[in-house]
Amino acid sequence: METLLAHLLTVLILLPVLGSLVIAYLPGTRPRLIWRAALVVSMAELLVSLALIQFQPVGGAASLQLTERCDWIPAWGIQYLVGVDGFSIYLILLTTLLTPIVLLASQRSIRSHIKAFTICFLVLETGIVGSLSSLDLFLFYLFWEIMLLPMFLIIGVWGGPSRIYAAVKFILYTMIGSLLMLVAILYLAHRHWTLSQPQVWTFNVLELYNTPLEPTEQLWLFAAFALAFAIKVPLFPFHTWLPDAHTEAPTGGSVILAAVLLKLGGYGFLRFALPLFPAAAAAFAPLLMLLGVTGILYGALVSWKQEDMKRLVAFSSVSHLGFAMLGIASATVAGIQGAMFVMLAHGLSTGGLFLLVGMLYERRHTRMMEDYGGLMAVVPNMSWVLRLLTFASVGLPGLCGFVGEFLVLLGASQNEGWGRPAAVVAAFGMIVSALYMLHMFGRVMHGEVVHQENRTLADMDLYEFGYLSPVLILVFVLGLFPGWILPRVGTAAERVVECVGTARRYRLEAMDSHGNFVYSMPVRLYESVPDLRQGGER
Amino acid sequence: MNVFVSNDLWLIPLIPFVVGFAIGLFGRYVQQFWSGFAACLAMLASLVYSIKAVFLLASTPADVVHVKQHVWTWMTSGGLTIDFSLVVDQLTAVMILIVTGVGFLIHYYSLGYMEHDHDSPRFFCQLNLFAGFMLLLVMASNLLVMFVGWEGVGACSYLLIGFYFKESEKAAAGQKAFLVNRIGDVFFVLGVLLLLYGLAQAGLAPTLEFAQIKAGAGALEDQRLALSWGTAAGAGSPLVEPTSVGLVTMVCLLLFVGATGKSAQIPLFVWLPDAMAGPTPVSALIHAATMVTAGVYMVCRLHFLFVMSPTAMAVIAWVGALTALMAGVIGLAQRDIKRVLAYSTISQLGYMFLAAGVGAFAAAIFHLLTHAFFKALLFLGAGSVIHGLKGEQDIFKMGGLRTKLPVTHLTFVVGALAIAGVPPLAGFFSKDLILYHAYSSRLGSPGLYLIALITAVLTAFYMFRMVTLVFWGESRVDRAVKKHIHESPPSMTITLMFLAVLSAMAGFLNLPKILKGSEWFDTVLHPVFARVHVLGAPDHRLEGVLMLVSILVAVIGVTMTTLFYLSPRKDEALEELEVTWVYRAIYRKFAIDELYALIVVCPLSAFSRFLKDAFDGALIDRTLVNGPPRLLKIAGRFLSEFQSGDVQRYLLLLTLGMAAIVVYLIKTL
Repeated sequence: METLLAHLLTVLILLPVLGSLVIAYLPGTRPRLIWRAALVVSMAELLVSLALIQFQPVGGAASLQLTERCDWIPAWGIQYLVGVDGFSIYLILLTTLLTPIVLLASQRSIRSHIKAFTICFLVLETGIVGSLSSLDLFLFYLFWEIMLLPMFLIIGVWGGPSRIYAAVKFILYTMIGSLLMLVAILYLAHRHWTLSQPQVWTFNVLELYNTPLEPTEQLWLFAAFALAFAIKVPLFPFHTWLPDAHTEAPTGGSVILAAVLLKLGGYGFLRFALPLFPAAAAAFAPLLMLLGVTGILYGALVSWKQEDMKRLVAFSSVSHLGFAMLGIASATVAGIQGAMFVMLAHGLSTGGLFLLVGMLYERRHTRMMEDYGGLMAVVPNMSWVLRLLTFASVGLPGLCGFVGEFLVLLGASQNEGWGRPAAVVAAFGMIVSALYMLHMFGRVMHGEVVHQENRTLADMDLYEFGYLSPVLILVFVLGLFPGWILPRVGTAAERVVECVGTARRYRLEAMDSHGNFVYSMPVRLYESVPDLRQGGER
Repeated sequence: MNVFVSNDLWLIPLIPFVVGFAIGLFGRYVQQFWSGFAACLAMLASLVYSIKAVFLLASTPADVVHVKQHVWTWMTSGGLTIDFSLVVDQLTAVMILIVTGVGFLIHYYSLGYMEHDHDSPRFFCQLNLFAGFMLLLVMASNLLVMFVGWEGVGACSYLLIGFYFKESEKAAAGQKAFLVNRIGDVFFVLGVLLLLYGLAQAGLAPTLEFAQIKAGAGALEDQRLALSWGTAAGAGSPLVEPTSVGLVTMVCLLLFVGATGKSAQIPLFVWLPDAMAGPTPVSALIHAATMVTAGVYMVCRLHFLFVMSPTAMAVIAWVGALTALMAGVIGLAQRDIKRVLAYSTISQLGYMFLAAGVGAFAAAIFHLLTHAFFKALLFLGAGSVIHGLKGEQDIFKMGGLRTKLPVTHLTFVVGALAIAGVPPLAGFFSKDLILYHAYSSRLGSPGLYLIALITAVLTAFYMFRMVTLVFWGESRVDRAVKKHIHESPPSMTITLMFLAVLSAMAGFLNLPKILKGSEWFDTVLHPVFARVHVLGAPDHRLEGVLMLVSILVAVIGVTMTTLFYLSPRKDEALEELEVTWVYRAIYRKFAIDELYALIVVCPLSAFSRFLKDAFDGALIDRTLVNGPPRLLKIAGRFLSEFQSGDVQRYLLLLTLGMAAIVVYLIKTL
């Protein structure tokens, strides 16, 4: 037990991929066995990940916890270095919670290549958990790319009619961003090598936080990182891969994509782009806020005019994550807390919506709203669940959506720069979000049943309600007891805010002076992590 | 400032919540009766706990400002802590008694009204949830918890308006209500954010607790807000920009826009008439007695902020007065019994805002109380008529129902007399108080008084037009319906009688001093509104004169209308009237819905379509995203022409190339 806790993150990273290795050797002729095995692995992962909850928030430089380190490619200073704080814990938990749910939900609809399907999801889980816990940039990049492949396959193999187009678009679009990020990572490591005395290679982000970088360098590097993350978020106008990917992916893929993968973008800003290049982050903040706010309104308005339910939900993601982006760019504690909360709440409500749309699709094999209508009389339970998720999504206070939106607006209004006008405009997104969600609910559920096929639609059964219920319960729990999450996010956010704030002050001073200056963090952001192999004590 | 702690307060909203959810989950699986029964019981329990809380408040020493319960800490962020805590002071006491008392009566009434509807569990579930949110709204100790109730009642209202979801227009009316309310809610949130900003500027700790805002309100007085994209200039700064506005004024105006959404005032009143699509008990509870008064309650709750800004007060008073007038006018020409009542509600809410806007907060709450009684009575009476006539709502297809529906008739007339302001019924006292303050308050003016007086005439007119057309004169009921007309079941009529007694008697709670009364209601609310000093010194002569005018106006209005609509020549007169453009404009409700559709909804819809098809589809996706790959593809195809493996083509190209070189060499040589 002790060792398990000491190596919790390693266990979490390796468990799914090892599980998928086992599944690979199971006979393909026994689908039930494969489903069970995948479920057991993901449930075990969920149980182990629950141990993350017990860690209390620690402020200051020691806020990264459960760290593990050992050399990997010593010549290049590449390490296996992992650790978590308030930013990553909840996203990891969201991932481990949703993976078994998604496997349960897919069991009925996926009929082909079951073995490959489950392996994809387990490898994806490893990639996500790895990305969320890596503190070494090289390791992070590795996991970041690992995530792409299973998702590419999930869309391309089990997706809808134009799945190939969507899958290729997804992978190319994301790759372009991440390759630029790779270049930036290499440049950063090289820069650290030239500046350090004696010269050492490292990809350890905790060391790189302190690398003194000139403002112009920062701008370019930030731009490269930000592009990769902005595509992932997706930030307007880099969002157009998302509706296609969402629409074509099978239900499970859509859920994981919306609920978790997109969040890696926001997480990347918080963990890497902002603290690594704080001066550039401060300079880019107005642009990011502008794009975030544009995304909120734009996503909502475009969503309103969609005919396809999955596309509607996909564009609603653009809108919701615009809120997250606004909070992050405001670089205030409340804003970042709000952004994290928006991401978690969106994971639940949108994940739930995709599951529900998936259930409808299984029954009627269409996602077009015009093919439904009047379902409330036919499937009352489903309509209740959809109603709850609708309310959660529009940010009704008391449910999960509101807390994040409010904190983002609060954080933005505390931002000295463009935050206040941004908050005012963003607030109007609350109206349009109600508009498109109620519009969808009305078109699907209200009125008379017009299509004969819909009269005999089966309501949600216990199995479906069973796997959806954790999401539904959490929608309430997060809305009513955000105090369970906010403090830990807050301590992590304070580090970032301090970092960007210092840089912003520094930048303002530097603008008055002449000549070159070299920016470096006046304080050490995080404690360094001792190497496990050298018997370091934590 | 002392606070008394109680651990029972949370039960008041919790019981309807829990029972509501239970009905929602299990109601469909038990006999229909039990849902309604449980819902009523929940309201009764909540009423009992409310009474208990009120007695507790009454028994505390005089220096106790409120009874409070901290339930849990909702969220903390930076220095801002938001507790989920509930308070009961005198203002809240009035509100919870109205919500649970009238709420219980309407639940009880609904037992009869909904007995033939097999969907009644859904109805009672939502009605109970509504009551829970409404109680949360009035008991909240801070703005954000109030906002939970504020949006929650809006959501329940949306659900209940669209209760008959099979009829698309009714469901759409629910959506409209939610969206229009949302517009108000956004301004509410902006007001909250600006308030927090102001507190930070003033160097105070961030808080949204009413008690703490009240304590720190003085420091906000000098804060100004620049109306440009810059930061606000501080107090006393020599650089106060000409375009700056008082921060408190701005906060109050933003919050007031929120109130206009919830309480159906200009410009956001358009949802309430459509909200009549819901079952009639819903109209009575949500769209007359409780939810729509939330805006009035909020203004009164934050009166210490509003009185700091004469501008905001003037805006409230004038918006209230003009809304009262406009809705009164529209009410004159409506044919649907519930729509008349809906416009009447908008009009009466306008009175309440007028009172609040001139600083007569106690009068606003008093009118809120009496209005809850008589408007609930009128709606339930209308429900009883509709129930008896199998769904008929056109008052021109009624008439002569006096004998067929005796209890409904009698109670309805009591309600109508009350709202028309005929003494000694409740509406007379509360409306007269508002008229008096509109004239005599330092913030009042003869103009406001005059508008309010005209509205009083209109009220008497449209109410007795309705009474006469529905109950008196000869019957115009369709023959098919005529045979089945029946008085409603006891659960409905008992409620009507109860409310009729309340509507008749409630005025005596606040008998004015000139009638040898004690103004008990004012005294009760005095601790809450004690710091308001905008009302003029009591002038008993003026009060007496104005009271006589009110009585005269009400009595004349009632008699004239009744005589006109009973006279045999009314049909000719009406026919003549109906062709005039004034009448048509009124009947079409000044085409405000159409105007909003034209200037807001349609452009937004067209713009969204443009964004979806042209901007997102054609420009971003097809050109910017898929454009470069397509260019690459074309380039690749072009270049691959040279690599076709076709030897003849290679030779051709080779020859052409050589020829080109030769030509080039010859030219340069």
